[in-house]
Amino acid sequence: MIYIVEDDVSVRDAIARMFESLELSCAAFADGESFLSDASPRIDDTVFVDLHLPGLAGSDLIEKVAALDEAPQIVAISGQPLWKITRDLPKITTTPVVRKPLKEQDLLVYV
Amino acid sequence: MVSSSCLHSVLDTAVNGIIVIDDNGTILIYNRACENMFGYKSAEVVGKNVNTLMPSAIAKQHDQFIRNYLKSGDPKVVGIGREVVGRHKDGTEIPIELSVGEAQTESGHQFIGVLKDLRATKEYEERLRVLQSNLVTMTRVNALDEMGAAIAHEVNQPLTALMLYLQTAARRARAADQPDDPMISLMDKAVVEAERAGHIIQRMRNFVERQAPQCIGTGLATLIDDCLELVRVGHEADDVEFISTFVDYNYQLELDSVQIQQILVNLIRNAGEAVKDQPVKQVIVSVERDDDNVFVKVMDTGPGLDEEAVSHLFKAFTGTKRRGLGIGLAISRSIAQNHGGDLLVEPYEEGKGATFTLRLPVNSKATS
Ligand SMILES: Nc1ncnc2c1ncn2[C@@H]1O[C@H](COP(=O)(O)OP(=O)(O)OP(=O)(O)O)[C@@H](O)[C@H]1O
Ligand SMILES: [Mg+2]
Repeated sequence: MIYIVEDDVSVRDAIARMFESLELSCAAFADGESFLSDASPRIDDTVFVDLHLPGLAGSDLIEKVAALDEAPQIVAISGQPLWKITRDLPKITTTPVVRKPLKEQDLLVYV
Repeated sequence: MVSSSCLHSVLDTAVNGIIVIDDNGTILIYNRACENMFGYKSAEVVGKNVNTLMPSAIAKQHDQFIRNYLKSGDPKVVGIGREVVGRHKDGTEIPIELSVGEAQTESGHQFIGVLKDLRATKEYEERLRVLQSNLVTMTRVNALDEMGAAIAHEVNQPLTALMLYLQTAARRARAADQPDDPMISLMDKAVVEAERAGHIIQRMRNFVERQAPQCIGTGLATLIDDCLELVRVGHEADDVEFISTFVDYNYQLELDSVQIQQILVNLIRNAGEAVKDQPVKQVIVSVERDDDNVFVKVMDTGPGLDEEAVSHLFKAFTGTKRRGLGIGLAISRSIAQNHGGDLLVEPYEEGKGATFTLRLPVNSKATS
């Protein structure tokens, strides 16, 4: 299963459509809160998290998900400048970051 | 008849310096305000020539000035007043606003000088000038950078979606039972163009990708006062009251002061413009604190901002004025967010003005 947490409607939709067209099952969420309450990611899942989210920050969400028992693979997505990404990402994790604008190949390498 | 001790006590309570000389330039009266201004005690200078209190270039000519005036009656300062330079006991020069009157007394011709120390005013004007020019330069640089960053960011999202839609559509077209080759070729070309746009955005972002804000300990109360002062300068004509209620001058915060000033100046300027035609014209800046954040609030008595207005307030390039100095709310917010803070507007309340809240995080080094 592939999860997408991204607040921008079009980006979220485009990513979901792309995975669907490859017959990969995926679920998309507009914010961290709804992801945490509705999704139950497992160890062989992948979660794409936009760092710039309303409410619960992307970096906090990543920290929470990484702390799960059977933590899935996490990939951060961001359109922010590098210094902001390095500031926001919790230093302990080794989360890969994909920067926007992106192509499908950038995401497909992780699934 | 006023007694001489009464006269001296009047002279000594005067805020301005008062000096009386005779027609030889000899000091007869020298009040307490002068003692503070020049560093000489009255006893040190009374009976001396007044040129003791002047830089040597002028001191040399002063006796001649008096003689010229007495001869020609052609005033250079008497009855006119002008800005002159005095010399402190320690040698430093003091800008002074001097007005001189004259009197014929039984003991001869006397001149009475009233002196206003302009040091504070000058320093203040100079400080304001520096502040203002910093702000203008930084605003230009920042506006360009932030504009670039804003464009990069705003365009990034649709471009990302566009690219993924195109790639997905192209793949579907290929997988169709009877692939439409010209169509596929068009879509591939579209992907290449979207990619090109992406590269442009990336280059632009690399170009404007600024350093993290340069944060240093700054007195918040002074910073707010400075911002109010900068805006007041443009509002002297229309009686808008700009008030800060935050007076904890010891409170220090780690921040990039020029950037935060830009935000506050923009908020205060907007507020000042919003109250212009109101019966009550007030802009109040206040500060609230909790453990993690400082909230600087800019409140006005203007018409307020309804939901509709708020919904596009922070979008880039939506300002209604086109005068160019301001950095606008979109950039203000992005600067606040670069600081790990945010810029918000309080919900609309009928009959109340607008309130903008600048949230700044308090980091470990901040002290109270
Ligand atoms: N305190 C306020 N009360 C009422 N309206 C406001 C207030 N602050 C902002 N606005 C409205 O929001 C608009 C956008 O403000 P913003 O600061 O982004 O740009 P601007 O002031 O129009 O231009 P600039 O700041 O570049 O000079 C303003 O033009 C004004 O209509
Ligand atoms: Mg403005």
